Amino acid sequence: MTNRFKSTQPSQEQILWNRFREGDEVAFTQLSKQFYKTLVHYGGKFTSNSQIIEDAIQDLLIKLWLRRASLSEVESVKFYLLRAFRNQLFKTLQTFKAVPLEEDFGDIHFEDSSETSFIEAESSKNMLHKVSYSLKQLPERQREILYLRFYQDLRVEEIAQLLQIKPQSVSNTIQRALSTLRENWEISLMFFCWFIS
Amino acid sequence: MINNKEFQELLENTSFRAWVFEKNTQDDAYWTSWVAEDISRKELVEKARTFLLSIQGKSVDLEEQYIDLQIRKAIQQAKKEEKTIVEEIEINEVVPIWKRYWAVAASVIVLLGATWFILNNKNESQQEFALYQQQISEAKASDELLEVINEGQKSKLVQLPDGSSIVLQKNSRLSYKKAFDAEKREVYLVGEAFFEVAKNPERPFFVYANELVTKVLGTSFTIKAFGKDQDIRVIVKTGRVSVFTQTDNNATQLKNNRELTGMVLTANQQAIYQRQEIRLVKAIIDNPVILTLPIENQKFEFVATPISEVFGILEESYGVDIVYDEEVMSKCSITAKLGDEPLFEKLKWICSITESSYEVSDGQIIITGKPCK
Repeated sequence: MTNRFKSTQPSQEQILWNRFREGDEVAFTQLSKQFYKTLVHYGGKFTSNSQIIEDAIQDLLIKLWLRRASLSEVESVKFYLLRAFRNQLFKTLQTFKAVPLEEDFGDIHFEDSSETSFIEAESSKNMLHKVSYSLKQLPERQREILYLRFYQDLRVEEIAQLLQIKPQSVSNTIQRALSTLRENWEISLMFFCWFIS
Repeated sequence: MINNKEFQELLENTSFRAWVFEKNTQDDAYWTSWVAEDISRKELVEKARTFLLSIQGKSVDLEEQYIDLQIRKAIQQAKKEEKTIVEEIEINEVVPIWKRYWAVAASVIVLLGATWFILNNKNESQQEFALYQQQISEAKASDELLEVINEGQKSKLVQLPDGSSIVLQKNSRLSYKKAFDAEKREVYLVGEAFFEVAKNPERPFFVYANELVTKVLGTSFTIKAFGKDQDIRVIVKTGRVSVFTQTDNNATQLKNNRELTGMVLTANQQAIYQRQEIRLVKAIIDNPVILTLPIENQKFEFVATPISEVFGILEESYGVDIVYDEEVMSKCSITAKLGDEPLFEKLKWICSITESSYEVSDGQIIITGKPCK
């Protein structure tokens, strides 16, 4: 007989998570290491102050360790951590008396930078520039949803839970954001081509 | 032009994203041939790739060693806190400090505000007010207490026997002794209130708000201590206050010290007590959102300000009605810095400047004035 339940085999992450909940420090360290950069990257979309991001991660890790016994099993460790980190970051930002931030999503990192150098052709670079610019024109919430969906690879339901909105509106937002983005981007490309010709 | 549906589908494709983000060169062949099948896909792939890289932005540039160190630091800190919390919980169970101060006996409750019985029937409010009830029942043992309950939508002014004024926010309660002790003034709060404490270093002023004690010699500040909130906040507008927990090892000493010791807050600082973590932290306030009352941002500095405007500010700040003859006093104006004096101190000043007098009747302040030149 086949068992049709999806989660009969816990993932590597879930095994670590469960060991961590039982107080295994090695498992906790391993998980923290695995997701540290992911959290820093997500934090970077809200503030350019790396001190705040690192403080928030520290506080998150401390809280996780202190509350390990009361944590429950999770379907996705990454989702759990992204969500807990987002909450913590907002708290930390408040104590740091920085501006509260939904307004700020992604302002900092959608600039073109030396990172783009692996796009060899000059025209590709220009295109990246245009896309980044168009992306910046989107409302922050839309940008965050695109980021969570396509970069962090969260499921629509997870994003809905994270942002406390309906899954349907996440899907709608993605569609709407992509089509607005494409429109702006065609226009700016056309404008750009006309300008250099 | 490429089609939106195809664009989104390509973005949803996990192996496409993996190819872009992880730069899997072994997948190059696959995507090259995919493009070769239909040349219009070239633009599609190029755009989707550009979009993904753009949404990714800068990559995180941190050494593994550095990350290891950060994680080790967090674990160390967590273990340290684990210890202190265990200690604090033990103290909590063995000696609730404030209990020592009050003998146990029964006494009469004096209630201002008629809604007590309705409130008392609500289960959730019982829980919310549990800690406060416990504290005032101890206090009631030895003295008669007055209680003000603000269930309305507006804030409510409470005038204390020592001349201090308190603006009590909605859904909040305050209790205090009918006559303060000779050596200290003590009030009990659940909810949120803004305090202007009459200066008297000989008679420190204590606010008990859930787990937190705030000690003051004379100053203005806000306390937010709702039973259901995770944090308790003490936010200082002017002067200095000291804050500690009821269960602090040194609570007795902190209370009896002539100076303010322990965690001392000055203007524009706040103490945040995280109830779950049993942690008290100090922070700067720069976020106007936490201050909800007009009075908390009001400096009370007047330069040739018409009396009508001055009274308007007082009315708004303290939530009181001020009645006066506008016509008679139309030419009066005030130049003064009234700062954090309690309301009645401010009124005294204003009356002496304008040669008028005030009385309190039916919850209104009635000013009898003369025309100013």
